[in-house]
Amino acid sequence: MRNVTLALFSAIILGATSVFSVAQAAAGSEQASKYVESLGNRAIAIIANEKLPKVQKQKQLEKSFADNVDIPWVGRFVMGRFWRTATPEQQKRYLKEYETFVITHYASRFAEYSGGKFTITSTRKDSENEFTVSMKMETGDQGAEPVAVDYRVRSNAGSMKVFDVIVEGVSMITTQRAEFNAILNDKGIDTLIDKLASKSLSAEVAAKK
Amino acid sequence: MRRISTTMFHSSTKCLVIAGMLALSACSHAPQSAASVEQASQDDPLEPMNRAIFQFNQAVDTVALRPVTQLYREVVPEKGRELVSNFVDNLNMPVSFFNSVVQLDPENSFKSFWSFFVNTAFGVGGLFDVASEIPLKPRETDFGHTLAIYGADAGSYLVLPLLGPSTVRDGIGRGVDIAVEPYRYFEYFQDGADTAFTATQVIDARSRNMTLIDDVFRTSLDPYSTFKSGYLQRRNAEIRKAIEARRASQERAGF
Repeated sequence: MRNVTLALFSAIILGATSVFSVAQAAAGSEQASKYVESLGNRAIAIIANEKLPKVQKQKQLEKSFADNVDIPWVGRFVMGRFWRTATPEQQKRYLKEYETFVITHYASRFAEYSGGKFTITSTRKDSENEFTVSMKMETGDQGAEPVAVDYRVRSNAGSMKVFDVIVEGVSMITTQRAEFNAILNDKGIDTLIDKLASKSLSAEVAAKK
Repeated sequence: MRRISTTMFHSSTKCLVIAGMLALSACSHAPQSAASVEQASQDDPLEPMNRAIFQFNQAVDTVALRPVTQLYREVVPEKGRELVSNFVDNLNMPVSFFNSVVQLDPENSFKSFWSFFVNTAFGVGGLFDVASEIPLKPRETDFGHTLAIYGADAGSYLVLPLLGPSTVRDGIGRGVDIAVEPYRYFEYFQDGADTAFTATQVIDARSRNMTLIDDVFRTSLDPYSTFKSGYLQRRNAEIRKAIEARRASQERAGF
Protein backbone atom coordinates (compact mmCIF):
# COMPACT_ATOMS: atom_id res chain seq x y z
CA MET A 1 0.00 0.00 0.00
CA ARG A 2 2.92 2.31 0.60
CA ASN A 3 3.71 1.93 -3.06
CA VAL A 4 0.17 2.76 -3.95
CA THR A 5 0.25 6.14 -2.25
CA LEU A 6 3.26 7.30 -4.12
CA ALA A 7 2.12 5.77 -7.33
CA LEU A 8 -1.17 7.54 -6.97
CA PHE A 9 0.62 10.86 -6.64
CA SER A 10 2.87 10.12 -9.52
CA ALA A 11 -0.01 8.87 -11.57
CA ILE A 12 -1.96 12.00 -10.97
CA ILE A 13 1.03 14.10 -11.79
CA LEU A 14 1.63 12.19 -14.98
CA GLY A 15 -1.95 12.71 -15.91
CA ALA A 16 -1.60 16.29 -15.05
CA THR A 17 1.55 17.61 -16.45
CA SER A 18 1.95 18.27 -20.04
CA VAL A 19 1.87 21.87 -21.07
CA PHE A 20 1.51 20.94 -24.69
CA SER A 21 -0.89 18.45 -26.04
CA VAL A 22 1.20 15.90 -27.87
CA ALA A 23 -1.25 13.95 -29.88
CA GLN A 24 -2.66 15.48 -32.99
CA ALA A 25 -5.06 14.22 -35.62
CA ALA A 26 -6.71 10.83 -35.37
CA ALA A 27 -4.81 8.96 -32.71
CA GLY A 28 -4.02 5.27 -32.58
CA SER A 29 -2.49 3.17 -29.81
CA GLU A 30 0.91 4.47 -30.77
CA GLN A 31 -0.12 8.08 -30.19
CA ALA A 32 -1.85 7.20 -26.94
CA SER A 33 1.31 5.60 -25.64
CA LYS A 34 3.47 8.52 -26.79
CA TYR A 35 1.06 10.99 -25.21
CA VAL A 36 1.21 9.28 -21.82
CA GLU A 37 4.97 8.96 -22.06
CA SER A 38 5.40 12.65 -22.72
CA LEU A 39 3.06 13.50 -19.83
CA GLY A 40 5.27 11.41 -17.58
CA ASN A 41 8.48 12.98 -18.75
CA ARG A 42 7.12 16.49 -18.34
CA ALA A 43 5.92 15.68 -14.83
CA ILE A 44 9.33 14.44 -13.84
CA ALA A 45 10.93 17.52 -15.39
CA ILE A 46 8.74 19.93 -13.43
CA ILE A 47 9.20 18.10 -10.18
CA ALA A 48 12.94 17.67 -10.59
CA ASN A 49 13.47 21.33 -11.49
CA GLU A 50 15.24 22.62 -8.42
CA LYS A 51 15.30 26.20 -9.63
CA LEU A 52 11.54 26.39 -9.52
CA PRO A 53 10.10 27.66 -6.21
CA LYS A 54 7.55 25.38 -4.59
CA VAL A 55 4.64 27.70 -5.31
CA GLN A 56 5.57 27.90 -8.99
CA LYS A 57 5.86 24.15 -9.22
CA GLN A 58 2.43 23.84 -7.72
CA LYS A 59 1.03 26.34 -10.23
CA GLN A 60 2.58 24.54 -13.20
CA LEU A 61 1.33 21.18 -12.04
CA GLU A 62 -2.15 22.58 -11.47
CA LYS A 63 -2.24 24.07 -14.93
CA SER A 64 -1.07 20.88 -16.60
CA PHE A 65 -3.61 18.88 -14.65
CA ALA A 66 -6.38 21.18 -15.84
CA ASP A 67 -5.09 21.00 -19.43
CA ASN A 68 -4.81 17.25 -19.66
CA VAL A 69 -7.62 15.81 -17.60
CA ASP A 70 -11.12 15.80 -19.02
CA ILE A 71 -12.51 17.45 -15.89
CA PRO A 72 -16.06 18.17 -17.13
CA TRP A 73 -16.50 14.55 -18.25
CA VAL A 74 -15.10 13.13 -15.01
CA GLY A 75 -17.26 15.55 -13.03
CA ARG A 76 -20.39 14.22 -14.74
CA PHE A 77 -19.24 10.60 -14.44
CA VAL A 78 -18.65 10.72 -10.71
CA MET A 79 -22.18 12.01 -10.13
CA GLY A 80 -23.56 8.86 -11.76
CA ARG A 81 -27.32 8.74 -12.10
CA PHE A 82 -27.71 11.92 -10.05
CA TRP A 83 -26.45 14.02 -12.95
CA ARG A 84 -29.70 13.66 -14.84
CA THR A 85 -31.88 14.59 -11.90
CA ALA A 86 -29.99 17.81 -11.21
CA THR A 87 -31.35 21.09 -12.57
CA PRO A 88 -29.22 22.90 -15.20
CA GLU A 89 -28.42 25.53 -12.60
CA GLN A 90 -27.21 22.87 -10.13
CA GLN A 91 -25.17 21.17 -12.84
CA LYS A 92 -23.42 24.42 -13.66
CA ARG A 93 -22.69 25.25 -10.03
CA TYR A 94 -21.53 21.71 -9.38
CA LEU A 95 -19.12 21.59 -12.33
CA LYS A 96 -17.59 24.89 -11.29
CA GLU A 97 -17.03 23.72 -7.71
CA TYR A 98 -15.89 20.30 -8.87
CA GLU A 99 -13.18 21.77 -11.06
CA THR A 100 -11.77 23.90 -8.25
CA PHE A 101 -12.03 20.99 -5.84
CA VAL A 102 -10.34 18.42 -8.04
CA ILE A 103 -7.49 20.75 -8.97
CA THR A 104 -6.72 21.87 -5.41
CA HIS A 105 -7.40 18.40 -4.06
CA TYR A 106 -4.85 16.69 -6.29
CA ALA A 107 -2.44 19.57 -6.58
CA SER A 108 -2.06 19.39 -2.81
CA ARG A 109 -0.67 15.91 -3.28
CA PHE A 110 1.91 16.97 -5.85
CA ALA A 111 4.06 18.70 -3.30
CA GLU A 112 4.58 15.48 -1.40
CA TYR A 113 5.78 13.58 -4.41
CA SER A 114 9.42 13.43 -5.36
CA GLY A 115 9.95 11.88 -8.77
CA GLY A 116 10.01 8.32 -10.08
CA LYS A 117 10.89 6.38 -13.21
CA PHE A 118 8.30 4.55 -15.26
CA THR A 119 8.20 2.03 -18.08
CA ILE A 120 5.23 1.67 -20.40
CA THR A 121 4.40 -2.02 -20.65
CA SER A 122 1.43 -2.14 -23.01
CA THR A 123 -1.26 -0.16 -24.77
CA ARG A 124 -4.74 -1.48 -25.38
CA LYS A 125 -7.37 -0.06 -27.69
CA ASP A 126 -10.69 -0.15 -25.82
CA SER A 127 -12.90 1.48 -28.40
CA GLU A 128 -12.75 3.71 -31.47
CA ASN A 129 -11.12 6.55 -29.52
CA GLU A 130 -10.32 5.13 -26.07
CA PHE A 131 -7.06 3.56 -24.98
CA THR A 132 -5.51 2.09 -21.85
CA VAL A 133 -1.80 2.69 -21.46
CA SER A 134 -0.26 0.48 -18.77
CA MET A 135 2.97 1.17 -17.00
CA LYS A 136 5.15 0.00 -14.16
CA MET A 137 6.23 2.82 -11.95
CA GLU A 138 9.12 3.03 -9.53
CA THR A 139 7.84 4.77 -6.46
CA GLY A 140 11.24 5.96 -5.33
CA ASP A 141 10.40 4.36 -2.03
CA GLN A 142 13.14 2.17 -0.57
CA GLY A 143 12.72 -1.50 -1.38
CA ALA A 144 9.21 -1.04 -2.75
CA GLU A 145 7.99 -3.03 -5.73
CA PRO A 146 7.15 -1.11 -8.90
CA VAL A 147 3.45 -0.27 -9.01
CA ALA A 148 1.07 -1.03 -11.88
CA VAL A 149 -0.56 2.14 -13.17
CA ASP A 150 -3.07 2.29 -16.04
CA TYR A 151 -3.89 5.52 -17.82
CA ARG A 152 -7.19 5.68 -19.60
CA VAL A 153 -7.10 8.25 -22.36
CA ARG A 154 -9.58 9.41 -24.97
CA SER A 155 -8.93 11.28 -28.19
CA ASN A 156 -11.43 13.89 -29.17
CA ALA A 157 -11.21 16.11 -32.21
CA GLY A 158 -7.51 15.41 -32.48
CA SER A 159 -6.52 16.11 -28.88
CA MET A 160 -6.01 13.57 -26.12
CA LYS A 161 -7.24 13.77 -22.56
CA VAL A 162 -6.85 11.55 -19.55
CA PHE A 163 -10.13 10.42 -18.01
CA ASP A 164 -9.05 7.85 -15.43
CA VAL A 165 -5.98 6.63 -13.60
CA ILE A 166 -6.01 3.11 -12.19
CA VAL A 167 -3.40 2.29 -9.55
CA GLU A 168 -3.03 -1.38 -8.63
CA GLY A 169 -6.62 -1.97 -9.65
CA VAL A 170 -8.06 1.08 -7.90
CA SER A 171 -9.73 3.46 -10.33
CA MET A 172 -9.78 7.10 -9.37
CA ILE A 173 -13.13 7.85 -10.94
CA THR A 174 -14.83 4.72 -9.56
CA THR A 175 -13.62 5.55 -6.06
CA GLN A 176 -14.71 9.15 -6.34
CA ARG A 177 -18.10 8.11 -7.67
CA ALA A 178 -18.61 5.89 -4.61
CA GLU A 179 -17.62 8.77 -2.36
CA PHE A 180 -19.93 11.28 -4.06
CA ASN A 181 -22.84 8.86 -4.35
CA ALA A 182 -22.77 8.21 -0.61
CA ILE A 183 -23.44 11.92 -0.07
CA LEU A 184 -25.89 12.28 -2.95
CA ASN A 185 -27.93 9.32 -1.72
CA ASP A 186 -28.03 10.63 1.79
CA LYS A 187 -28.21 14.39 1.52
CA GLY A 188 -28.57 15.46 -2.11
CA ILE A 189 -26.73 17.62 -4.57
CA ASP A 190 -26.77 20.95 -2.72
CA THR A 191 -24.98 19.39 0.24
CA LEU A 192 -22.43 17.86 -2.12
CA ILE A 193 -21.74 21.24 -3.72
CA ASP A 194 -21.35 22.85 -0.28
CA LYS A 195 -18.95 20.14 0.84
CA LEU A 196 -16.86 20.51 -2.33
CA ALA A 197 -16.63 24.24 -1.77
CA SER A 198 -15.61 23.94 1.86
CA LYS A 199 -12.96 21.29 1.09
CA SER A 200 -11.40 23.53 -1.55
CA LEU A 201 -11.45 26.41 0.87
CA SER A 202 -9.76 24.47 3.66
CA ALA A 203 -7.05 23.26 1.23
CA GLU A 204 -6.46 26.85 0.20
CA VAL A 205 -6.18 27.99 3.81
CA ALA A 206 -3.75 25.14 4.54
CA ALA A 207 -1.62 26.04 1.51
CA LYS A 208 -1.31 29.65 2.67
CA LYS A 209 -0.01 28.68 6.09
CA MET B 1 -3.35 -16.48 31.30
CA ARG B 2 -1.80 -15.66 28.00
CA ARG B 3 -1.89 -19.32 27.07
CA ILE B 4 -5.52 -19.74 28.00
CA SER B 5 -6.67 -16.76 26.02
CA THR B 6 -4.67 -17.93 23.02
CA THR B 7 -6.32 -21.32 23.16
CA MET B 8 -9.71 -19.77 23.51
CA PHE B 9 -8.99 -17.55 20.60
CA HIS B 10 -7.96 -20.47 18.48
CA SER B 11 -11.01 -22.55 19.24
CA SER B 12 -13.34 -19.65 18.57
CA THR B 13 -11.52 -19.05 15.31
CA LYS B 14 -12.15 -22.64 14.34
CA CYS B 15 -15.87 -22.29 14.96
CA LEU B 16 -15.90 -19.16 12.90
CA VAL B 17 -14.09 -20.91 10.10
CA ILE B 18 -16.44 -23.86 10.07
CA ALA B 19 -19.49 -21.61 10.14
CA GLY B 20 -17.96 -19.58 7.37
CA MET B 21 -17.20 -22.58 5.22
CA LEU B 22 -20.79 -23.70 5.49
CA ALA B 23 -22.04 -20.29 4.53
CA LEU B 24 -19.63 -20.08 1.63
CA SER B 25 -20.10 -23.53 0.22
CA ALA B 26 -23.29 -22.31 -1.39
CA CYS B 27 -21.60 -19.79 -3.63
CA SER B 28 -19.41 -20.60 -6.56
CA HIS B 29 -18.52 -17.79 -8.91
CA ALA B 30 -15.31 -15.80 -8.82
CA PRO B 31 -13.81 -13.43 -9.62
CA GLN B 32 -16.28 -10.62 -9.87
CA SER B 33 -16.34 -8.27 -12.83
CA ALA B 34 -15.51 -4.61 -12.31
CA ALA B 35 -19.20 -3.77 -12.67
CA SER B 36 -20.24 -6.19 -9.97
CA VAL B 37 -17.52 -4.88 -7.68
CA GLU B 38 -18.99 -1.45 -8.10
CA GLN B 39 -22.45 -2.86 -7.48
CA ALA B 40 -21.20 -4.62 -4.36
CA SER B 41 -19.70 -1.40 -3.11
CA GLN B 42 -23.15 0.14 -3.22
CA ASP B 43 -24.89 -2.73 -1.44
CA ASP B 44 -23.70 -2.47 2.10
CA PRO B 45 -26.20 -4.27 4.33
CA LEU B 46 -23.96 -3.90 7.36
CA GLU B 47 -23.44 -0.18 6.80
CA PRO B 48 -24.73 1.13 10.15
CA MET B 49 -22.54 -1.29 12.10
CA ASN B 50 -19.62 -0.75 9.71
CA ARG B 51 -19.80 3.00 10.08
CA ALA B 52 -19.85 2.69 13.86
CA ILE B 53 -16.77 0.45 13.84
CA PHE B 54 -15.13 2.76 11.32
CA GLN B 55 -15.63 5.68 13.71
CA PHE B 56 -14.25 3.67 16.57
CA ASN B 57 -11.18 2.75 14.51
CA GLN B 58 -10.73 6.36 13.49
CA ALA B 59 -10.86 7.43 17.14
CA VAL B 60 -8.26 4.83 18.12
CA ASP B 61 -6.13 5.97 15.23
CA THR B 62 -6.35 9.62 16.23
CA VAL B 63 -5.57 9.18 19.90
CA ALA B 64 -3.12 6.27 19.79
CA LEU B 65 -2.06 4.62 16.55
CA ARG B 66 -1.24 7.67 14.47
CA PRO B 67 0.74 9.49 17.21
CA VAL B 68 2.70 6.32 17.99
CA THR B 69 3.40 5.75 14.30
CA GLN B 70 4.50 9.33 13.89
CA LEU B 71 6.88 8.96 16.77
CA TYR B 72 8.17 5.74 15.22
CA ARG B 73 8.79 7.53 11.92
CA GLU B 74 10.63 10.33 13.68
CA VAL B 75 12.81 8.06 15.79
CA VAL B 76 13.58 5.30 13.30
CA PRO B 77 15.23 6.36 10.02
CA GLU B 78 13.87 5.14 6.69
CA LYS B 79 16.49 2.42 6.34
CA GLY B 80 15.58 1.05 9.75
CA ARG B 81 11.88 1.06 8.91
CA GLU B 82 12.66 -0.90 5.78
CA LEU B 83 14.35 -3.57 7.90
CA VAL B 84 11.27 -3.71 10.11
CA SER B 85 9.05 -4.11 7.03
CA ASN B 86 11.25 -6.92 5.76
CA PHE B 87 11.13 -8.60 9.15
CA VAL B 88 7.33 -8.39 9.29
CA ASP B 89 6.98 -9.60 5.68
CA ASN B 90 9.28 -12.51 6.38
CA LEU B 91 7.40 -13.59 9.48
CA ASN B 92 4.22 -13.55 7.42
CA MET B 93 5.77 -15.73 4.74
CA PRO B 94 4.74 -19.02 6.38
CA VAL B 95 1.13 -17.86 5.98
CA SER B 96 1.73 -17.39 2.25
CA PHE B 97 3.36 -20.81 2.16
CA PHE B 98 0.41 -22.44 3.92
CA ASN B 99 -2.06 -20.82 1.54
CA SER B 100 -0.01 -21.62 -1.56
CA VAL B 101 -0.08 -25.27 -0.57
CA VAL B 102 -3.83 -25.20 0.05
CA GLN B 103 -4.25 -23.44 -3.30
CA LEU B 104 -2.23 -26.23 -4.95
CA ASP B 105 0.16 -23.68 -6.43
CA PRO B 106 3.47 -25.55 -6.83
CA GLU B 107 5.64 -22.60 -7.80
CA ASN B 108 4.52 -20.26 -5.06
CA SER B 109 4.69 -22.98 -2.42
CA PHE B 110 8.29 -23.54 -3.42
CA LYS B 111 9.14 -19.85 -3.58
CA SER B 112 7.48 -18.87 -0.31
CA PHE B 113 9.10 -21.77 1.52
CA TRP B 114 12.58 -21.00 0.28
CA SER B 115 12.16 -17.27 0.58
CA PHE B 116 11.37 -17.71 4.27
CA PHE B 117 14.25 -20.12 4.71
CA VAL B 118 16.80 -18.00 2.87
CA ASN B 119 15.78 -14.70 4.50
CA THR B 120 15.68 -16.21 7.96
CA ALA B 121 19.00 -18.02 7.60
CA PHE B 122 20.99 -15.55 5.50
CA GLY B 123 19.05 -12.32 5.95
CA VAL B 124 19.60 -12.09 9.72
CA GLY B 125 16.23 -13.44 10.75
CA GLY B 126 14.41 -11.72 7.91
CA LEU B 127 15.81 -8.21 8.35
CA PHE B 128 17.28 -8.34 4.86
CA ASP B 129 15.26 -9.51 1.89
CA VAL B 130 18.03 -11.50 0.24
CA ALA B 131 15.58 -13.89 -1.41
CA SER B 132 14.42 -11.17 -3.79
CA GLU B 133 18.02 -10.74 -4.99
CA ILE B 134 17.95 -14.24 -6.36
CA PRO B 135 14.67 -14.59 -8.27
CA LEU B 136 12.74 -15.98 -5.36
CA LYS B 137 10.11 -13.35 -4.78
CA PRO B 138 6.84 -15.12 -4.00
CA ARG B 139 3.44 -13.49 -4.28
CA GLU B 140 2.01 -12.76 -0.88
CA THR B 141 -1.22 -14.61 -0.44
CA ASP B 142 -3.77 -15.17 2.30
CA PHE B 143 -6.76 -17.30 3.14
CA GLY B 144 -9.14 -14.72 1.66
CA HIS B 145 -7.43 -15.39 -1.69
CA THR B 146 -7.65 -19.12 -1.08
CA LEU B 147 -11.40 -18.94 -0.45
CA ALA B 148 -11.85 -16.79 -3.57
CA ILE B 149 -9.82 -19.22 -5.69
CA TYR B 150 -12.14 -22.00 -4.61
CA GLY B 151 -15.14 -19.97 -5.63
CA ALA B 152 -16.27 -18.06 -2.55
CA ASP B 153 -17.90 -14.68 -3.09
CA ALA B 154 -16.68 -11.72 -1.08
CA GLY B 155 -19.94 -11.44 0.85
CA SER B 156 -20.86 -8.16 2.50
CA TYR B 157 -18.37 -5.42 3.12
CA LEU B 158 -17.21 -5.56 6.70
CA VAL B 159 -15.18 -3.19 8.83
CA LEU B 160 -13.25 -5.07 11.49
CA PRO B 161 -12.47 -3.47 14.83
CA LEU B 162 -8.83 -2.31 14.76
CA LEU B 163 -8.09 -4.28 11.57
CA GLY B 164 -10.10 -2.04 9.24
CA PRO B 165 -11.69 -2.69 5.82
CA SER B 166 -12.57 -6.29 4.99
CA THR B 167 -15.40 -8.46 3.73
CA VAL B 168 -17.11 -11.45 5.30
CA ARG B 169 -14.88 -13.74 3.24
CA ASP B 170 -11.68 -11.83 3.94
CA GLY B 171 -12.54 -11.52 7.62
CA ILE B 172 -12.85 -15.29 7.88
CA GLY B 173 -9.62 -15.55 5.93
CA ARG B 174 -7.97 -13.25 8.39
CA GLY B 175 -9.02 -15.45 11.29
CA VAL B 176 -7.58 -18.53 9.61
CA ASP B 177 -4.33 -16.76 8.77
CA ILE B 178 -3.89 -15.64 12.36
CA ALA B 179 -4.56 -19.18 13.54
CA VAL B 180 -1.90 -20.68 11.27
CA GLU B 181 0.87 -18.17 12.03
CA PRO B 182 3.46 -20.67 13.22
CA TYR B 183 5.26 -18.44 15.69
CA ARG B 184 2.15 -18.35 17.87
CA TYR B 185 2.86 -21.96 18.71
CA PHE B 186 6.44 -21.53 19.86
CA GLU B 187 7.13 -21.38 23.58
CA TYR B 188 9.57 -18.56 22.95
CA PHE B 189 6.79 -16.32 21.72
CA GLN B 190 4.46 -16.89 24.61
CA ASP B 191 5.80 -14.34 27.06
CA GLY B 192 4.46 -11.24 25.43
CA ALA B 193 6.70 -11.54 22.37
CA ASP B 194 3.75 -12.33 20.15
CA THR B 195 1.94 -9.26 21.43
CA ALA B 196 5.05 -7.24 20.68
CA PHE B 197 5.15 -8.68 17.20
CA THR B 198 1.48 -7.89 16.61
CA ALA B 199 2.13 -4.31 17.74
CA THR B 200 5.09 -4.12 15.36
CA GLN B 201 2.93 -5.41 12.53
CA VAL B 202 0.24 -2.82 13.21
CA ILE B 203 2.66 0.12 13.45
CA ASP B 204 4.55 -1.05 10.37
CA ALA B 205 1.30 -1.26 8.39
CA ARG B 206 0.18 2.19 9.55
CA SER B 207 3.57 3.61 8.69
CA ARG B 208 3.55 2.12 5.19
CA ASN B 209 0.16 3.69 4.58
CA MET B 210 0.84 6.98 6.34
CA THR B 211 0.44 9.30 3.37
CA LEU B 212 -2.41 7.38 1.79
CA ILE B 213 -4.54 7.28 4.93
CA ASP B 214 -3.80 10.87 5.91
CA ASP B 215 -4.65 12.04 2.41
CA VAL B 216 -7.96 10.25 2.34
CA PHE B 217 -8.95 11.82 5.65
CA ARG B 218 -7.87 15.23 4.49
CA THR B 219 -9.42 15.26 1.03
CA SER B 220 -12.32 12.82 0.97
CA LEU B 221 -15.88 14.06 1.39
CA ASP B 222 -16.79 10.69 2.91
CA PRO B 223 -13.71 8.69 4.01
CA TYR B 224 -15.83 5.65 4.85
CA SER B 225 -16.94 5.28 1.20
CA THR B 226 -13.48 6.02 -0.13
CA PHE B 227 -11.87 3.29 1.96
CA LYS B 228 -14.66 0.87 1.12
CA SER B 229 -14.50 1.40 -2.63
CA GLY B 230 -10.70 1.41 -2.67
CA TYR B 231 -10.46 -1.76 -0.61
CA LEU B 232 -12.99 -3.68 -2.71
CA GLN B 233 -11.39 -2.67 -6.01
CA ARG B 234 -7.88 -3.45 -4.86
CA ARG B 235 -8.84 -6.77 -3.35
CA ASN B 236 -10.62 -7.76 -6.52
CA ALA B 237 -7.61 -6.88 -8.66
CA GLU B 238 -5.35 -8.83 -6.28
CA ILE B 239 -7.58 -11.89 -6.49
CA ARG B 240 -7.73 -11.79 -10.27
CA LYS B 241 -3.93 -11.70 -10.27
CA ALA B 242 -3.74 -14.57 -7.77
CA ILE B 243 -6.06 -16.73 -9.88
CA GLU B 244 -4.03 -15.98 -13.00
CA ALA B 245 -0.68 -16.65 -11.28
CA ARG B 246 -1.91 -19.93 -9.81
CA ARG B 247 -3.24 -21.11 -13.16
CA ALA B 248 0.05 -20.26 -14.90
CA SER B 249 2.02 -22.00 -12.16
CA GLN B 250 -0.11 -25.14 -12.44
CA GLU B 251 0.22 -25.14 -16.22
CA ARG B 252 3.99 -24.88 -16.04
CA ALA B 253 4.02 -27.75 -13.58
CA GLY B 254 1.88 -29.80 -15.99
CA PHE B 255 -1.21 -30.12 -13.79
